[in-house]
Amino acid sequence: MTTQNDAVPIAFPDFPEDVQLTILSFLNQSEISTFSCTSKRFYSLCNNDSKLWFSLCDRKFGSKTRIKKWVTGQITYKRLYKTLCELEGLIGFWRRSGQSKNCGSPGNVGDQTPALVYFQWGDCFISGCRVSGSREGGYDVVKRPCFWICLNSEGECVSFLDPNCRVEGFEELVAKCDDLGFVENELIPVNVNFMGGGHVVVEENVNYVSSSGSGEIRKSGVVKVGSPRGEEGDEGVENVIGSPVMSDMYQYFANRTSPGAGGERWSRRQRRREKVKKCWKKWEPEHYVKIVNCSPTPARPLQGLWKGICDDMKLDFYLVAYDDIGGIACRRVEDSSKPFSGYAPVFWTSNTTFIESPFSPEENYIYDSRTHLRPPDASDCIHGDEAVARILYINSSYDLVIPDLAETSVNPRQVEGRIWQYGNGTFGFGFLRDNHIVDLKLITRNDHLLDTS
Amino acid sequence: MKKLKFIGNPLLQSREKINMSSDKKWLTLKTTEDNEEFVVEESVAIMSNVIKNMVEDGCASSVIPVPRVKGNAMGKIIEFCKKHTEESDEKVLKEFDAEFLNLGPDALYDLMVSANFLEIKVLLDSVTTKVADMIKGKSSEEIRNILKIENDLSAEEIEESRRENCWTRQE
Repeated sequence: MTTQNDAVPIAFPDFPEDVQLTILSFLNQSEISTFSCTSKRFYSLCNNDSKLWFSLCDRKFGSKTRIKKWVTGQITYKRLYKTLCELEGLIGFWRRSGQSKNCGSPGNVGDQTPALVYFQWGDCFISGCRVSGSREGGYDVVKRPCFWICLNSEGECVSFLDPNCRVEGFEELVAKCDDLGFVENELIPVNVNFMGGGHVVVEENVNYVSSSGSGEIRKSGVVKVGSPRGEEGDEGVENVIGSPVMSDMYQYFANRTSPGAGGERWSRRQRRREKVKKCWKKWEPEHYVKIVNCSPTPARPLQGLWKGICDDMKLDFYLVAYDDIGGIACRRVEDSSKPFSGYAPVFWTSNTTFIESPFSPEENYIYDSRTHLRPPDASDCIHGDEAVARILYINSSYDLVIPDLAETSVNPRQVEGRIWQYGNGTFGFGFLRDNHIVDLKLITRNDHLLDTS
Repeated sequence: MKKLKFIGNPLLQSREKINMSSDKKWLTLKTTEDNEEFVVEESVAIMSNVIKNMVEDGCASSVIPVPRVKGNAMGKIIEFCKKHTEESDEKVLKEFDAEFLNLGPDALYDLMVSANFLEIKVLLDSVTTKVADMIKGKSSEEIRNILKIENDLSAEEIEESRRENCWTRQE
């Protein structure tokens, strides 16, 4: 922000062109549009895709992704800029709204869309990772990609859901899209639609057609042909009008995946395609809500996304948010087949004033007489002998709203609990009705996922 | 008659003393347009990618000739680079930059062109950001006035340009 209000005129047309482009790279789309109306020369400069629009992409996204790798076929940098600006809204943490409507086989939550997703930039794609505790137990967090969003050669977004996180890398994804040998329920083409206000809907893209193959094999073992209007036309590589296609992406990577595309392989596919029936299982749309405020601030020290071991010895994720009426709410974000799964309430408190040390003997007793819940491998200890710095009362818990417990009389002791904030900023919570402490640790830093194992 | 400028420890009186200073390496930059010489620490001088490459390639002799940059601009550039090498607090640097860039248009122009030529990214970004800030949120006419751009578009052409770019306005 310049301190001079009335800018002294400066002879911009005399600047070297690369300096002009550097200046323009700081502007946004609408400012460029205004600038392009200043003169013929700058109109043509502003429409110079490879110079100006590349600079804009590079200025805004160059540090996050590899701009040039996104561009295949005829995608202009202008189009890419607009697309990347939209996709940028996805970056960060999202939680599924409501229980997953796509229940997997009993006991296997893998088929569900994940409850907690972290979207991040890739070289030429955006991946959305399922965030979960590691299979070994303990406090380790793993992220495995299950959403893939990239562009086809026409610059349209193409998205896939891989509910079992089988695909580990982008090149593997491209290879699988071209390969007819899909494992059942592997890749589902989806549309990720922005509804505004930090809300997206992930819906199955039933119009998806890959001209190089015929989509994926669904549970019934039958190959799905996506579009009812999919006219395959000639054998080979042509695109179906209006549909995103993978053949272009395949061709882009053809050097690395399969030399000698075309010919024998294509005709095999064509023959197989002609044998299939049109039959698919419908994937229900899932809604996701963006998690803002993923990290604590000095004014809101408990805010953010945390991990902790609960009484079932599994790692769970907890979202603590400060509401508009001066309260703090904690909810568990999890993949589970239990009721209220996805976003289960844990506690709420309206009293956000901390009690400072030194504490009364009664408070000390309440804390000291408890066990900290630890993973089975006790050496994985995150708190050591961390001293309690401050205490907060929990004066409300959500047990009251769970139908099973409606029989229980409202015992004040049932709803009370404590939050113990430690010197290093982490905290633990517990209820007076039991003698546990769930210790929490952050999984974010500056709204990014902390390094996972 | 050559003018010798010492940028660095003001207590040092002669070039010999500087060369004997064991910990720091010093370079002499000479602007060939007006024959001004500047003695700077190498760590400051290599903020310029051009000079850095020369030093790394081993073709930097005791005196590095710098064309196209005037003495005044060179002095300012060295002042900027020195501050950015010494100071790491972002807030302090931001305040310094704002004060530093309080220059007239000719000086700003010289600085920008020189920073571009010498490939000093930090300085170039600072100056170009300032110019960009001058035109953000302004109308085409205002931009023309600030940047001294002559309007050679007809009314129809302006209208067409607006229409073509109208998707960019939907933000």
